[in-house]
Amino acid sequence: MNSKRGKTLSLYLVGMMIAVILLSACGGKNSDSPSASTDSGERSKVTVWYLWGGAEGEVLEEIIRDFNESQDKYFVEGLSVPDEQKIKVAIAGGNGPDLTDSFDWVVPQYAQQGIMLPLDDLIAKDGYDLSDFIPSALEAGKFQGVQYALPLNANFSIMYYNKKLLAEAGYSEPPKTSTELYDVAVKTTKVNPDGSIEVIGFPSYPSEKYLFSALAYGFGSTYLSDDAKELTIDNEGTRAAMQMIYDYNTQFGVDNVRQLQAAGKWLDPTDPFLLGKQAIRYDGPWLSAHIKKMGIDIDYGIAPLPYLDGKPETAGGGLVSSSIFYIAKTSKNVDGAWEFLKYLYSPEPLAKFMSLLGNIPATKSAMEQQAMKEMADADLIIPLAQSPNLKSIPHFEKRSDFDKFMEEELELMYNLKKTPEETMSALTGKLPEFLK
Amino acid sequence: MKRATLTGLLFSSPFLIGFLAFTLYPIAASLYYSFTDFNMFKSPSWVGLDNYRWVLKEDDVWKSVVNTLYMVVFATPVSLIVGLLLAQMLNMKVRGQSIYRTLYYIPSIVPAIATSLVWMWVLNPKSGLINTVLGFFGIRGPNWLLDPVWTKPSLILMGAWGAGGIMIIFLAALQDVPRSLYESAEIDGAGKIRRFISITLPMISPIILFQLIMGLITYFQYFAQAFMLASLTNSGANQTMAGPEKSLLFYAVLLYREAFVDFRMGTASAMAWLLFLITSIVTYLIFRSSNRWVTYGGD
Repeated sequence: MNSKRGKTLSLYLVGMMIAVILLSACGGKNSDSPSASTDSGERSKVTVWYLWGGAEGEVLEEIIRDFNESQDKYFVEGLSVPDEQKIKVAIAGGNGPDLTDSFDWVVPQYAQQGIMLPLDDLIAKDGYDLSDFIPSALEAGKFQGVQYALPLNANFSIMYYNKKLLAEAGYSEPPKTSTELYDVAVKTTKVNPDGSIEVIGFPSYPSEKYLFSALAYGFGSTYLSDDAKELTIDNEGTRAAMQMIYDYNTQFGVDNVRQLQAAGKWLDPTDPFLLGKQAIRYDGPWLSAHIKKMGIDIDYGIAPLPYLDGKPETAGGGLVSSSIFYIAKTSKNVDGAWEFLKYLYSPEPLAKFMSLLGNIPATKSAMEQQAMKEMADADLIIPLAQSPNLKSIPHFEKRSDFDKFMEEELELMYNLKKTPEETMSALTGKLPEFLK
Repeated sequence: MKRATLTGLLFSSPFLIGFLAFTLYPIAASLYYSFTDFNMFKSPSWVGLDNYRWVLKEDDVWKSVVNTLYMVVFATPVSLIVGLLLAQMLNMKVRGQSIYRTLYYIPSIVPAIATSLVWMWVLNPKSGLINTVLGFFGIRGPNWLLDPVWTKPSLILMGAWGAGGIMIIFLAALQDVPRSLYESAEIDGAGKIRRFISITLPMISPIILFQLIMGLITYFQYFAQAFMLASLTNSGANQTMAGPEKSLLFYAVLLYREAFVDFRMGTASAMAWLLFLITSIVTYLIFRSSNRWVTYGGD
């Protein structure tokens, strides 16, 4: 009996001990943090995590250094964290960055999950001028009328083509229409005796998933009405894009296309376009910056995405998305994060950052900077960015479920497990549910 | 309380605290969260059995269960058999025995991430080692990591390559089998295969039981390699982490996606508890069946 009571007592004691140690650990952390957040000169620390690494991360670090030297109120500490899940979890746990980046399509999800801090108050307080932003890009940072993030760039696919491969197949000009695109793709594809693909003519490298929306939007498709209430995906542009991928994979064999996709890695020395083994490639302007930076010897050209046959009025079409920066909901230094955000988006730093990444900046003032004119292939790319036919997908609540379903259904079609007709009816049957 | 008890508790307190704070508390918390709607930002709200109902009717969950069972059913025996065969070979008295043992063990200490990266090259359909060798025989190898039919066999192959951990335990067990049994069997005219089946297997059956259970648990929780392959290849669905046509969507991968991509801690916790339940039941059933096929030396 006695020993039992002793046991209970000792358990209580251990419990108390744990409580004391845990509490003191927490307390220690709290009392530490103010001193940790100031460096010499009582500047308050702003933590910025970014997804970029390597050379791109270094450019941002340079801008951070410039900022730190430019004023004495805040001190920004940058860290490359190329794992978005990690950033989200850290923000949720309250140990994340003050400011971080992502892509515009996460805005609805992050806004609802409470990861992003609404910027409206900060914008109003400062009278921050939003008119400098390209309107469609600015819209991409909004959800349900609230500005959650600011767009960094306007990303869209352009068509790269290998001049030598096209010339060998008898073309002196890049394809302009959907029919020409398919002709060129078929004629430039070279097949080995065993059926495997030696040179791929079609832009299905790196993957059809990467290609699909650019192809469809290039053909003048839109998936949704502007208010995201109505599904408009069933149009001739989407159908033509589906059919084209389906036909190419039927003609040359899904296995052969997959083999080629798995053999090379995007933008590394095994990338078929960089090896001169892909005739047509849909990719972002960063491909130019990459080719220039790596000194890759390849004779390529740039052209607008081909439009759907008989629809020249949709020429210059494409799908625009943006990278964004947002302040974390759990930020401990909102003012500091806002201050750095404003600095980063001012013309010179933004132009410096974007030109080295090979991106079109989301502000008009940055676009006019000298740095942008020095960007790789600026003369070819910047005019394409002005096209009125570039469109973006409006935000809505269940965007991520929408994308997931579409991706899964289309994948079955790429693998020839479903016909384009079956896929379209699956999409039109299910997707409206995500718009409610 | 006795002074000795207190001293004892004090000395074990680093473990006790760690266990209570980092093991017991999270386990208890996840049980509670499994009955709530919780996204880590807003405080949890009680939803009763909704999460468990969701798990039972969600298509992706069933898809992941099928994928996971595929690994449990095929990968566990394959890695056990490969491990045992390797152990058997390395138990032979040959020159350089210890070198061979080291060489075969090394793959199992390579981290899962590094293994996945190396195997992505080995399984490259054009220039990879396996397809190149198959090519010598005029066989065109499959698109290992992009063909939904071949993704799981690829993982099984990777698992077999890393069977060194299983091998080393079997090796220890094999060395414990008394030589006298083999000698008397030999005198009775038993051949190599007969000796293996009638002596080796029964004698090491307790170890087989142990390895079987460990293997099952490993494959029920299969995550790292699949996650790596799904996110590294150009295969369609990177954001869904599911691999080509969801062929790499394992239970643990889906659980991770629920928890850390979609922040549905409630459903993720419910999934975790169901997995725990299923693993426990399977382990129990195997233990029950073991009376029939496991021989203990003392019996």
